[in-house]
Amino acid sequence: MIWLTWRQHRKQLLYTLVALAVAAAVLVPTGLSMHHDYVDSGLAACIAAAGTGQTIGQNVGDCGRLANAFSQHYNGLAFVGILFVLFPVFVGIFFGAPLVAQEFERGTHRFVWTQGVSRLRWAVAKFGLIGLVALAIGVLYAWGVGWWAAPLLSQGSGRMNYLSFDIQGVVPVAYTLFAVALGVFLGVYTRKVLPAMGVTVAGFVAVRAVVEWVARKHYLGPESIKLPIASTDQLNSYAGDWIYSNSVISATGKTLIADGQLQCSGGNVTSLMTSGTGGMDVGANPCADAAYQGAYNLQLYQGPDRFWDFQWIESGIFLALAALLIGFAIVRLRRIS
Amino acid sequence: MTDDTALQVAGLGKRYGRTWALRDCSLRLPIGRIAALVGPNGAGKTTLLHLAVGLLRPDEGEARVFGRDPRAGREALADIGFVAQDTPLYRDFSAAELVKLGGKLNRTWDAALAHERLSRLDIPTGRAVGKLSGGQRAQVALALALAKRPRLLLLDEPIASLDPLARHEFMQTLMGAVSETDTTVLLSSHLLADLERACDFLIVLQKAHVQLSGDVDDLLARHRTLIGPRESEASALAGTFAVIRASRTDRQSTLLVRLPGAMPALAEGWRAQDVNLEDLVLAYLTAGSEARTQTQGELAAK
Repeated sequence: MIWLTWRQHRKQLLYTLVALAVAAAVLVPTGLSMHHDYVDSGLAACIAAAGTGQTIGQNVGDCGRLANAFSQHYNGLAFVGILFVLFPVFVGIFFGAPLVAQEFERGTHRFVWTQGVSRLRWAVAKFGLIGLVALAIGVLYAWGVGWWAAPLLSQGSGRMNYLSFDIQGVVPVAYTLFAVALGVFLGVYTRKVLPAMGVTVAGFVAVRAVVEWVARKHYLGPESIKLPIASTDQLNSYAGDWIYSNSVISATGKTLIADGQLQCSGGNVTSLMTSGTGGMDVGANPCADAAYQGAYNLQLYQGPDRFWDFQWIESGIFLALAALLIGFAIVRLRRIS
Repeated sequence: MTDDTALQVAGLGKRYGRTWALRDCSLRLPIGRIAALVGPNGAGKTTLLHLAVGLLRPDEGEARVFGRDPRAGREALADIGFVAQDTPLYRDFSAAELVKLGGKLNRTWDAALAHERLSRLDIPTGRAVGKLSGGQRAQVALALALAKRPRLLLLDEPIASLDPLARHEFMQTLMGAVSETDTTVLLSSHLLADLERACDFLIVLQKAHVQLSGDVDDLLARHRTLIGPRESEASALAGTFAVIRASRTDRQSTLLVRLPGAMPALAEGWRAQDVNLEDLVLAYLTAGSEARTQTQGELAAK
């Protein structure tokens, strides 16, 4: 079975390695130049100095300027990074979907299932070996893209945020295995290569979207920080937090600004950010408003120290889904008649 | 079930949706026979073969190969060689690679035998089988099935897509190969002519039902064509013969009948002729087709 799987898929593997080599030819030089610029411009040191504490002093103007310059320079590459989010689904459509569907389309299941190997053993061997290949590809991809994207993700919205989170750590491996399992499962049920490929794309995107935008934020309850509006400290935007919300709460616990931040100094506004109105009128000078006496900024967030917790929870979800799909595929294969 | 049975099916039925591809199918194929499975396209031949090799699961009844359920796993499969319709093989594999593959997938495997057959037929073993001619590919598929040293060899329309010369060569190779062993063979075709000389057992399938099955000589001995005047037809038959198929002109009746036992005496003006296999198959196919249509008509009338 090992020889059969190797013989059947060696070309596919070769093409995949060529594609990975092409990707590496792009990633290695651009990645090196990003890493160099990141260090040479002083941005790395600046962000390291800002640390992962929740508040920082006022002398961080440099960091913002450096980060801006850096992200403007590498703006195009950030979009390349977003494209990498789709990589696992390609492994799914090219390795997963045709695995069984092609046997049906060409009728070769009638040849291979009438030799002296049971269907169960055939399925376990093929799924296992292709799973190992997908695992290796996934690890290589996750490691390479994670390294490449690190400078892009360590400034700005941080590596906990949507899409940034998805191309680092272990989740790309889990996504890849899930995509392959989904392809295999759909190939078994549709018995046609093209429909299996198409539905794999749709299914992958749907499941990923639901997990990303609906489920993920509930993995753990958010952490919170309170910063008085009169404080001269600022919330550290370089800590790599995944920020759920910012609001301004009065001393009596009433929400004054539902979606924004406020800083005051000597009864005057030094910084006011509101996005979305929430129907709140902050008045001409909230800092002079009696209702704002003793008010504080409240931020709900997931800290970067929870990065790996989130990675493992999300990976667990996708690996469980993959196992379920492969289980269904095997049950179905044994019953097909 | 007796020990000399290669394939036994009892009450076998297979349904696709609401249509029965095969129903109430019962027959017994003894060891060592070369059996022809004949019927028009869509009669259920492929379904029957797939049930016998375990690719399909029956909805009714059961199939047993040497007493075992062919879906029971490796041991049952080891006894069966199967050449599927259109001889599906991995088209980018060479014949040599397919032989190697067979060795890895089967416990008993005679690779030397396969190579010897292929070289005797001048089939290039290094070239992808997708690039071989249809006849050569069929020969490769046959060599692979035989390398398993199966006790039962099932072939699904192996020669349907071949030209006459390749057909002839294929049948010759097949007969040569099985004559050396006691392999039981069941091969299907919608053309009887190809199988007539080779087979000593006949199964006629029509519209999902077995119309006729049995030893060829036996079947021929038990049927006659009776020819006589039309007006004395009823008295001549007198309930003795079962008429399978009748054709009548104004004055003469030609009846293909099944004998009750020994050949009884015939009425005045009637004579009996031996039947050949083609007449017999045609008669049963026509009869089957009419009978089914009639039954359906009756049901519709109710």
